[in-house]
Amino acid sequence: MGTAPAQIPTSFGHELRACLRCRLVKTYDQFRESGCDNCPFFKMDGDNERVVDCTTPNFNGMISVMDPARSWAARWLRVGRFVPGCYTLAVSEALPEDLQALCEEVHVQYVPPKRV
Amino acid sequence: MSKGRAQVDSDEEEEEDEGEDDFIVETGADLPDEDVGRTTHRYPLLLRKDEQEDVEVLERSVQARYARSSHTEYDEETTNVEQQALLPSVRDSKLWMVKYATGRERETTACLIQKYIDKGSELQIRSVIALDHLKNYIYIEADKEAHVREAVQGLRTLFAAKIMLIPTREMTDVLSAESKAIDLSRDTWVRMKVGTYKGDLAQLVDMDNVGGRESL
Repeated sequence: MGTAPAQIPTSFGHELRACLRCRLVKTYDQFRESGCDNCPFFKMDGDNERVVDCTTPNFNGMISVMDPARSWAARWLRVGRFVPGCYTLAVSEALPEDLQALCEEVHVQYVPPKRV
Repeated sequence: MSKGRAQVDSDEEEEEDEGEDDFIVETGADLPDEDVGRTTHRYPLLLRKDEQEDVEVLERSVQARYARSSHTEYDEETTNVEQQALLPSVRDSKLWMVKYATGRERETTACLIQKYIDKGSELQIRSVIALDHLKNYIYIEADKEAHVREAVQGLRTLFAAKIMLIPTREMTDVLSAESKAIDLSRDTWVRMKVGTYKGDLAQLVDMDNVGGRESL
C-alpha cells in the first residue's frame, strides 16, 4: 500500500458516516478525532458541528478500497486518487452551499450526488 | 471592393449579394476566421460588434474549460464522455461475487481491508463491495479467483466455495447502486418485487433511516 490508509471503521451502527465530498466512510468519532483524510480543509477534527455539516449517515452501499490506483471499481466511482479506506457508493444529500464554496476556494472538485 | 483580410473564407463570396466590403474587420480585433465566415451579415456593423463580444466570451469559456481539465488539482472526471472512458477493460481486475452466511456485509467489507492492511498487502485484492440491498453477498475485485479464495480464507462468515465471476459487461451494473431518492414515508403502499410475497401489495410500517430497510 502506497499512501497511509484512512482509519477503518470499527463499528457499524448509526455512528457510521460518509464525507459529503469524497464519500469516505468512518465513524463519527473517527471524523472528530482526525478529520477527513481526503478533505483536510474541512477541518473536522475537534469540531463537532463541522463533522455534522460535512458528513451524513444516509448513504448507500460500501466499498473498501485497498489499492485505489489499481482498482477499476475505485476509478469508476471516482475515488481512485483518494487514500485507501472505506467509501460509499452514493450519498443522498448535497454538501451545504457554504462548504461547496470552501471547496472552490481551495480548488478541489465537488460533484453533487445524482438524483434518480 | 477590397477584402481586408486574406484569411476570409471564399464561401462568403457566394453567400453575400451585397455589402461584401463590410466584411472587413475595421476594429482590428483578432477574430477567429470560422466565426467571421459562417454568419450572414445583413447589418454588418451592428452584428460584428455583438459577435466580437460573443467570440471573446466563447474564447474565455473554452480556455477556462480546457484549463480546468488540465488543472492538476481536479482529480475526478465528471462528464459522461469521460465516464465512458472508465469502462472496464480486459486489463482491469475482475469482479467476483462471493456468497456467505450471515449478514453484516459492511463489517465484512471493512474486515477485509483491515486484514489487507495488517498483512502488508500480501492479499492481492483491490477492493471489496457491499451493496445495501443485496444480503449475503459481497463482491471482491481481484485478478484471479485464487486471490479471492486466499482473501476470504479463515473468515468464518464467508463461504469460500461459492465464488462467481461477474461478466465484464455487467461490472458497471454492480456499482450502479446510486441513492434512490424516493422519499418513502410511513404508510406508503409498495409492491413487493422479490421473495414469498412477490407481486403483493404491502404497506410500510417502519423504516430504518440508516440502512434503508423497511418493515412491511
